Amino acid sequence: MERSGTLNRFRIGAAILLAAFVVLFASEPPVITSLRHAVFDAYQRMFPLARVNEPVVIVAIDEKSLAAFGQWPWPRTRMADLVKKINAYDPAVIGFDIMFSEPDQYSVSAFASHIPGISPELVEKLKSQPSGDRQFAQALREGKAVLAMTALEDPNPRGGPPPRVAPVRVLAETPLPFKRLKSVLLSLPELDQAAAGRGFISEDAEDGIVRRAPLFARIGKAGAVDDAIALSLGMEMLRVASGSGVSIRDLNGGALEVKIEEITFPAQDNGSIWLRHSKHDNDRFVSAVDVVMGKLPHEKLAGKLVLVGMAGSGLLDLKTTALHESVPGVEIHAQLIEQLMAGVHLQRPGAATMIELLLMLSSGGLLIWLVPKMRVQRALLMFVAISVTLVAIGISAFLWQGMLIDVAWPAIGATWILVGMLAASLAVSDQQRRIMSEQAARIGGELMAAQRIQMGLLPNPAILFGSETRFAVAATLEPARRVGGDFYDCFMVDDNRLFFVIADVSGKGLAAALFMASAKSHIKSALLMNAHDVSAALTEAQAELGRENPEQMFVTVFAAILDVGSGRLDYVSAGHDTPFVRKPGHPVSRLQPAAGPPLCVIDGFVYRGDTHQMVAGEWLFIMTDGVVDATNKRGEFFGAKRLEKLLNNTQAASKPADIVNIVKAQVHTFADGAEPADDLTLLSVRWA
Amino acid sequence: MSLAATKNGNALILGLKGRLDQDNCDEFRDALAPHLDSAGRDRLAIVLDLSQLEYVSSAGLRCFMLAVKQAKTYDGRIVVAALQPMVAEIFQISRFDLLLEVFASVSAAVNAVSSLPPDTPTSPA
Repeated sequence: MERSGTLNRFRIGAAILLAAFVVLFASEPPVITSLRHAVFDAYQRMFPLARVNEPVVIVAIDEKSLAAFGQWPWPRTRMADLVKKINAYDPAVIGFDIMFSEPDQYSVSAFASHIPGISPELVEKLKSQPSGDRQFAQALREGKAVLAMTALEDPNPRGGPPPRVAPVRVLAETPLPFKRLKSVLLSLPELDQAAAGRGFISEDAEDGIVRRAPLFARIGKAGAVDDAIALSLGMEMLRVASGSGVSIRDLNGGALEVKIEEITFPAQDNGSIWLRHSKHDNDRFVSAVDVVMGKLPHEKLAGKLVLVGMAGSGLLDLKTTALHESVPGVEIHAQLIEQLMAGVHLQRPGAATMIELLLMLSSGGLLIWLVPKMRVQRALLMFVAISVTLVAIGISAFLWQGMLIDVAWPAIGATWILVGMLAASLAVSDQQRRIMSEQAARIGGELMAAQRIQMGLLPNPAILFGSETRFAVAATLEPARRVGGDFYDCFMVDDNRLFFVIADVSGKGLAAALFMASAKSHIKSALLMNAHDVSAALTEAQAELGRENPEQMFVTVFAAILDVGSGRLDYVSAGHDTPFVRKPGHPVSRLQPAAGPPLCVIDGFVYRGDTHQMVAGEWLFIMTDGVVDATNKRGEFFGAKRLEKLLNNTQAASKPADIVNIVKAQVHTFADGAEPADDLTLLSVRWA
Repeated sequence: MSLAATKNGNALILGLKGRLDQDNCDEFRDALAPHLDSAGRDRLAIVLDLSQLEYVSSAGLRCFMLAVKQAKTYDGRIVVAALQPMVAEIFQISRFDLLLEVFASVSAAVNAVSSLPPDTPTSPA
């Protein structure tokens, strides 16, 4: 088949396109990643996490606190006071999203010597006062404090010993691909030693948006004694608060299982975790000044993980989340801890890319398979259904499995395939239309030739009997299609006898036309062999026709021999309507009805004829179904009654040619352009 | 075209509806085929109930002819009953009443076919 062959070529083309797309997708160029992130952000924005717990409170160094206590950085004595006040609320842990790497500038001992005119005794006395840093360290030691260490991209210019790290138990067969920090900037040794833990803070934003939070990183030199795993600030706070260690189990396939006491959660094997963002919430924050002034109820901070961070507008370190909100950086740590403690997990499993490839292959494959079989509207509908299904899969995975599946690229792949397949289908149908119109033209040409041949088979009585005075004959034939199954014939059997016949083959078109040609010639040869007996001629013709009738067609025939000397009409009808006859001065009447069925209906049927004696001037009119079965646009039939009335009204015009023309014209007027139901053949004979 | 079939004694009565012409001739033949098979197997005569048949064209007549020829291969018998006036006229003019026995009513047809022993070969007039 031409069509399916071409379509299969297009299918192969589309399959190659799909394969190319899969390869492109699997290689993850940046364009893939950006769109993927946009999809993940869309999930987050559609379903931001509702806050169900409040394990974290942020003590904010905000505008109100700066107004009360003056410019930042505050003296360490002020920080010591703040920590003491917080500790009074019995928090689980205090974490600082603030660095304290340099000695306190405001320490009395630090600036005493700079005071002009001060006595050396006083300087010594002031210097012997405990420094602000020492007071701060003391305050830190009184509770559980976690200090920040900043991940640096370069070696630490200040040098210093490697940080102390918490014990992390790792269950992994191969080294985990954690990010290695070049170096970390620590707090002052005095403060660091006072802290219960230290967690690193680092930027982990892509295209300026925070989507993942780091949990672990390697520090020190690979393989060296100082090679260790450090925890991020949030993790370290959780660890210190729980008072236990951290264990990491490699689940293989890109996922880790992390455990801190009874909290267990999945993480990516690069040591990060996808954040399931909740909206910025002012309820997470309390003002440092309110803490110092003791304005908060005890339970506000009791048992909580307290984060101390900056929120003053001039000091703000703002981060953009996947919700496309700008929030203070410290709130990201709070969101991470909330997410972990709420048991809400979000991960991109190692099999995610595989799943996406499968989605792409199945939706693309479905389109390649089905689009060629479908109408365009259905194909589009199916495409919409596939897209909706993909989006539903993406959202369900996000909401109920905590899995990030990128459905945009499978959908884009499917779109490419759809466009390709539709274009191919269009091209194919265009080609087919061209072929069909060429075929139609050729068949049309052949039919025209067939029509000319068929019309050539029919005698023209006006020419044959133009000079005849003993009788007159007129006939016409209009096929419903180009060619038809009706025919008529008329010729002199001998000097005195006129033979005429009208016939109607069952069916229309080419098959009927071929059978008609065969029937006409068999009837003529049978008649010539049985020149005196028209009935015997039909019996004979049926026998001949029946031998070569694979399509089991039949033909109704009215045949007659008119003795033009005596007016004796010997006739026989094989399933055909009998003629109208009209004697001068009389209304029309009909001859005896048919004696037998159409030729080729009952094998071996012996036809018997009748005789009618014509009078001078009497005419006979015979037609095929095309007259009474002619329908107008309202579906009404022309009918035998209308014909009879018409024939009764044609008294004056008694020439056969006129009768034929009038009936033909009336049928045309009646049909008024409606498609003819059947071939239309009219024959009229007048004697003397 | 669906044929409503009921069995009555030796007769399998099949009801035709609407028109029978070139457009649905094949459909009619397909619907008739299984009934011809079962009628042949169980030696039943088929009575075509034409009370709902409004029109039959010459292509439709050919359909009837083919059915009769097929039934003859196993000496089966098909008759028609309860013809509407227009269809009756068509049968009369075309003398298809010589091919298929025509009965005024279904019950008359059933009586006629039941009065014959089932294995009596029948031939039209």
